[in-house]
Amino acid sequence: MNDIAGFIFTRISYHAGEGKGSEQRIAGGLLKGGPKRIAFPDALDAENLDFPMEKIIDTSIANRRNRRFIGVLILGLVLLFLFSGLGICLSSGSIPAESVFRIVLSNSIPGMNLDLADIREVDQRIVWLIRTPRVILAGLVGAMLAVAGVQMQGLFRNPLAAPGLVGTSQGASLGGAIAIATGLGLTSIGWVPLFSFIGAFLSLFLIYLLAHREGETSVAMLLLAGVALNFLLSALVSLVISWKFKDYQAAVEIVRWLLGGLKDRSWDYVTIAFCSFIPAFLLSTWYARDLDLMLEGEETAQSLGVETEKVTWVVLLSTALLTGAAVSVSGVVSFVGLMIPHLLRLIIGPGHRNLNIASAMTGAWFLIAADILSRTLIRPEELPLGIITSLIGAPFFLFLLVRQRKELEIL
Amino acid sequence: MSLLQTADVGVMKEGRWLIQGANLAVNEGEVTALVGPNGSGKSTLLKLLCRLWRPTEGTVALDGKDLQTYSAREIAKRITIVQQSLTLRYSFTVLEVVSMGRYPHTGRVGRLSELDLEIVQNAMEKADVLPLADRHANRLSGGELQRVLLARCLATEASIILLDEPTSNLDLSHALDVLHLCRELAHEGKSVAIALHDLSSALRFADQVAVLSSGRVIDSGPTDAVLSPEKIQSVFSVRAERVRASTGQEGFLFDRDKEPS
Repeated sequence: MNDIAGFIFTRISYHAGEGKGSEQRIAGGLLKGGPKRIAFPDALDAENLDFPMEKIIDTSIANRRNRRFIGVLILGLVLLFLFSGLGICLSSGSIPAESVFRIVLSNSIPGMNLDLADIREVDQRIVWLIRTPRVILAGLVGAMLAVAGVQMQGLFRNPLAAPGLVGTSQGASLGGAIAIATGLGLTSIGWVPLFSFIGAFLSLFLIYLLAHREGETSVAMLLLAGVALNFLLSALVSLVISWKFKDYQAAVEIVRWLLGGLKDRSWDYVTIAFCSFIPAFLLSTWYARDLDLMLEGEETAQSLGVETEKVTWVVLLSTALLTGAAVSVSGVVSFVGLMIPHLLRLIIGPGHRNLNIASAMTGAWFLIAADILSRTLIRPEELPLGIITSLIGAPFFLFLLVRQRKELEIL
Repeated sequence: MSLLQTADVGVMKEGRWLIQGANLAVNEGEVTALVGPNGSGKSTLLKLLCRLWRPTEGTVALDGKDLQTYSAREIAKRITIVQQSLTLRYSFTVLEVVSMGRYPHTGRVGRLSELDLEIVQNAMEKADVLPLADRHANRLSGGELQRVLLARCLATEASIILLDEPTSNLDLSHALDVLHLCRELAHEGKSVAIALHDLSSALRFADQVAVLSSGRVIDSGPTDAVLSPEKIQSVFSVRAERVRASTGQEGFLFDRDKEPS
């Protein structure tokens, strides 16, 4: 938007005769003068203006948001590296940071064969096969949940929509539990994510059908149907476990999988997460502009040429893919998809392209940081990751409810 | 010639005909006013004309071809609509909202070219929203928002412009501006269909009038012929008198059909 704002603002400010062209001045001028037509000559060039161009661009909201977007990305990148490094180095054992660094470099960059002779074999394994995938997986799960949140909030046009809140994550849980219970989950690593995806998709689609009427979303329906669906799916998960009680091994397997967390996650899980995240992220970012237009209502978007049905399917499928994969590798981690998109929207504006990218970045470092907390708060024990995110997220959710109180009272 | 034409079009929602057997032609270079009491089907007809709703029976034809055969983008390039009582809940800037009008041309990843920006700026000038460009669209007053949405519809550069009561939230000066703008657009060769409550405005600004009542187009044709006091009395149940001001401008004065007892 840089160019747009610059282009138009030179003109506005020039004619408003305010000299500085700030938003307040234009607004103030209007208030004083009452609504009136300002005559704009056809040809104008920047050289004629008696104020610095940069200053005008500085005042535009779109540009301020763009700068913040860049800021969020740079800060995100720094924090991502910082927390990743911290996450890999941190443990109950003592491996010097310098050794850790060498192990990671040597393993991750092909052709870089550093001398690791002075590091114990077991330390090398701990760093490369246990800690590194764990940190990367935390980042991927955070990014997936945050992007899923962006998509759902856009589709439902409501900041209270999020995968963990309206049953989508629980749908994924049920799918995964079924995959394990039927024995399929033990035959190949791909079955659980596939079933999770299907479970996530079906529950999301159901909520969509329930809460969405004639291009509008009912907030009350979304939340209440979400609660009901959460209960129903949890009951079904319990049912699956009880059904497998006789086969003790399978029941334990399901429960262990449901508990989730990022402990002992191999590179295979990273592969699953990565292969789900990339297509879903690219697809949803590609359709970001359409979702922007759909925020103003489906009819409006249609009248501007958006194929709303297609976009709806894109959002439903990419959200299900993201949620399904996230749940299948780490269990239900609540509130990440709720909080991060909402906070970022306040900072960088509602445009979905930037929001998707920034949410992925922020979700990644946030969950790596949360994972570090979960490992360190009660050392040497571990807190489940979901507890950390809920401790931060639940109060935030209540805050959102209070902010939306008016809307909820109408319903 | 008529660009957009309906043939015995009807739409049923929840077992009720909102509009039925409606015939209407929107002609090039003309302003067509749709008038009628509340619930007579004006908005429904406009939605049918741009395929927001699909007809239950009958057809809508654009250039003689069924509207259903066009793609969404093709329609958006040709027909644009400003609906009634919209609210924007998200904090896009006014400039961004108006730029959305270029979507049918630029597509989902296309950047706005210098030409697109010119068009956006022109549209904002015409709707008098240029000074609002850097405001949050969800914090505008009703009238400001209505003008912003009008600007967005102009930014599509569609040749058929459908307006659903575009002056309902506007102050007198802006309402007149919008109606004059409709005339200018028709003069430029565009087709404008506009749902209006104010019959005096219809009389003054429209070339053609279609009168709707209970979901049917009961009369249509040149404004002077259609908007007679008798017709108004039968449709709106009010007594109407056509008056001429000293400037030569004509309008209606109304009174209740029956004197209060």
